[in-house]
Amino acid sequence: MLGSINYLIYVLLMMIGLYAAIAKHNLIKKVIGLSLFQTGIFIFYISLGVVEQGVAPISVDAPTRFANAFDHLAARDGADPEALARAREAVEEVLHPHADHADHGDSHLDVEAPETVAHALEAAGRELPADQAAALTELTRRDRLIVDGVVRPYTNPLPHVLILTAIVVSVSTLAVALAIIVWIRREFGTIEDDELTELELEVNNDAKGGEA
Amino acid sequence: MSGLLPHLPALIVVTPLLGGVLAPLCGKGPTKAWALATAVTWVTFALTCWLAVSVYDQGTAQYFVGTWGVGSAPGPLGAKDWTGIVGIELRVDRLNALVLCLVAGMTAVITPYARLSVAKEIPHDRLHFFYAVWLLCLTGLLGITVTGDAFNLYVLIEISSLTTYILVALGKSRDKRALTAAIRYLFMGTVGASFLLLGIGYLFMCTGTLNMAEMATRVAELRDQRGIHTAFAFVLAGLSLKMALFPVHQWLPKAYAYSPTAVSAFLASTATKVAIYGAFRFLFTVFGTEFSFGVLDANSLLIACSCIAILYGSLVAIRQSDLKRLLAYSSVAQVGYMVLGMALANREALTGTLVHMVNHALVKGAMFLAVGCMIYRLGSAKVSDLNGLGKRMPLTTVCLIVGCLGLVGVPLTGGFVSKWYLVQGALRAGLWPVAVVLLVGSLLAVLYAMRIVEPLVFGKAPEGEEVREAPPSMLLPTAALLVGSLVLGVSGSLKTGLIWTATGDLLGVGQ
Repeated sequence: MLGSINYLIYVLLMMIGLYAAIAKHNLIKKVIGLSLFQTGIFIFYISLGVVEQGVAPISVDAPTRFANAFDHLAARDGADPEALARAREAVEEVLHPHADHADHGDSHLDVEAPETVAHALEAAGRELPADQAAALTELTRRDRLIVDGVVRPYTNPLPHVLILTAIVVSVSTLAVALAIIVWIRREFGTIEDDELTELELEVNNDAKGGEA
Repeated sequence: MSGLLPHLPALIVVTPLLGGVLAPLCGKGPTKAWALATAVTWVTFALTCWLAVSVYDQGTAQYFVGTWGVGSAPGPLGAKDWTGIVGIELRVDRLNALVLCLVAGMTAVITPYARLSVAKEIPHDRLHFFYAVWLLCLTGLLGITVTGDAFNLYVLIEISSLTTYILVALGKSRDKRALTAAIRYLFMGTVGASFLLLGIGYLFMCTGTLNMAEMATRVAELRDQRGIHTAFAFVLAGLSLKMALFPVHQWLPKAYAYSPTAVSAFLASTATKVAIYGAFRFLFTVFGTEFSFGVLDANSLLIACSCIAILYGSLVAIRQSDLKRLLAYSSVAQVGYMVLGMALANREALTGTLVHMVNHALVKGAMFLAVGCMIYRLGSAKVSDLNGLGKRMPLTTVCLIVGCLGLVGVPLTGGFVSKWYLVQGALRAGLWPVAVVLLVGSLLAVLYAMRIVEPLVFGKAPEGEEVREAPPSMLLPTAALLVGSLVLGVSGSLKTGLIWTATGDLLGVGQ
């Protein structure tokens, strides 16, 4: 129940907004209703991106990921510190080649390239027992982050990016709506919807009268 | 030049966008911004034709915005973590190539017309802004048609809608009711677009992608999920609002009646057509024919709504005293025809819908332009103004009469071809009452067409001031559109042409 509270709120907000947009006579109140309606949808989208335990998706480069993973493994029970140290060195060897290698064109090494990461994992795997090697592979995946010793997935950033765009759209709609309402106030002298309907009918009758 | 070819899908959107940004810089006055807009629309039209030719030769054109593409291209978290399409894809197949040509072509013909007509209906210090908004609206419409990304489609729908609200509101100096029409359209349009946004959200939630082609493959596996059903309902409701299908059509007559006449012609011939294209894309490509019409049985709802739209729109059109309102209600009926063909979902009916889209764009565009000629000379366009117009503005009269014949669907006009296909489609679906509705709708169309034709031919001109024929720069575009409609009606090569192959693609059958 509490898990889906976001969705309850979104439906509630949307309904309140839609009610205001339909039932209120004042154009400004209608516009406010419309904004509420759209805000409801924003909450829906933002809720879509949430992943349990998720952290903000900040990409970390490969050497840092490996360093974090080794720290994490070392803190576990039953870890073999010496094997880990050797594996760590082997990874260093791959990701930070020695200066004399760098002179031979290795300075352009792309540490993020899948081949490089696979190479590093392979080098570490030679020094580690199988289960630790598998854990290392899992821990260095790009879609998770180790925060305070806890492995956490990233939240999905895409809905948030989408909704930033939708917010801009909704602000523009608001601006256009308010500009038109200002014009309406100037031309008709009122922004009450029912009075406007009457005034429109009058224009209609005037036109017909002019015809006759 | 051929180096441009792979970039065409992006260029046809970017060109009017740049034009829209540059137009306000041209300064006040009726000519400079207009010249820019005309040049831009014709360049855009040329580009879409080029693209369409290459699509029909070489098959679907794909374009990946930025460097993000399929699989192997680097995504934000490295290629290995992603499968499928990450960035925004522009995708042009036979169906949207056709719609692109239609939209760009109509705009290219209407823009030269707009110079005199718009200068008469809009204050001169606003003209450069008018053309800026005009081009931005074109950008939105072409963007909706070209994109293969669901969220991108929403954003572009909002771009075209926002600019449309402004274009409608600019009619205020001729009739201040344009403002209330615009704000009511804004309320309904925003609710519609928000429903669409919500539907796309549910689709994204269930499929995990925004690319329409990818969505289509995943929806096929997830068709029993309630999320997909919800998405379908929201998307259908949102698109129905945008294309002004019967119960949610109220914004259309007022918006068309009070906007500047060139805008009415532009919207009638492009905006609803693009919304219908959007419905095609979602119902046939994303959700798939089997899901939309098999699992969910959306066709009975759509057929009912469109039949009512045909009858209601035509009946109300008969009672109108203002020509633009009459044409607008006729548009409500014509949208009914197009949705009907879509809902019947067999190849004849779909062909009927697409031919009707093209034909209605040409004819209704031309009718609004002819009415614009009347407004240019007479200052108003009531049915009573038509009396004796045949003697005072003979060429405009000929255009109006040919347009009426096209709306009714007399043989040799495009309207006949499309209605013929629609009736065939209805009979093939075994729904003879629908065929009856189509025929009754055509009879009602005869009635409202007679309200226009009768005073033109037999009415007596009121005594008083001399009225001259409209200038050639306004008559030529009007006539050009009508000639297009006649060519469509006379040419018999339809079965092998663009439209027949496009409907084959939609239904997934061979040539």
